[in-house]
Amino acid sequence: MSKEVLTPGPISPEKIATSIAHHSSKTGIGAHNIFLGQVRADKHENKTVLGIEYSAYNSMAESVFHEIRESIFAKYDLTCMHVYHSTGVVKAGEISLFVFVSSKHRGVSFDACRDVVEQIKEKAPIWKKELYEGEKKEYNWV
Amino acid sequence: MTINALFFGVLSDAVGVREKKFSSIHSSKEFVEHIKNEFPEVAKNSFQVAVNETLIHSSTPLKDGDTIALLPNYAGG
Repeated sequence: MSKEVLTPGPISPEKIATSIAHHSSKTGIGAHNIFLGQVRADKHENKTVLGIEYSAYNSMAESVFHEIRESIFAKYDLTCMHVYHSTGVVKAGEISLFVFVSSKHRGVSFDACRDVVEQIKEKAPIWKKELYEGEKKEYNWV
Repeated sequence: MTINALFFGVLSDAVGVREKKFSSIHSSKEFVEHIKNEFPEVAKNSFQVAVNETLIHSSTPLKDGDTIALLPNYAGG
């Protein structure tokens, strides 16, 4: 089963809660490991980050996410894995990345979750612009 | 022949567009050189090149309908 990973806008806490609730029927699962990436209100040259605008090479990114998924399932004994990554504008304080892995036992869930996050950072063709407060609509590619 | 070119991240600012068609460009090397000549800002950035969504590491011939993408350093996750 493959789903699209890229999702427009921030990932809501409700989506995360719903995702957890959907797994209650999978009674072979003993551990969930969740990583959430949140947009920080960094300061850049005394300007505060209002949010981040994510852009992606969508079709290539989905292929890369699929390859990451395959490699993770080949390497770790997981029951389930879900990844969502925002595109478009995500404000400071909102969630832009949701990685959710589930397994029978907890050890593998920690390792797999971290591996997914690191692979996304390394391999996914995604870019981000920091958007700054103020009328000038200044931004900086990071 | 026509190829479709995609520019991402800071390179879309350097070139002024995210997507543009080109004709009479027959290799990835020729394309990159053409872009660097026309938009010198591009040369100030490190980037990878993908042809039809596959990263390439040496010059690759381009055929009609191919898509070439210039991908600056990734920043996802």
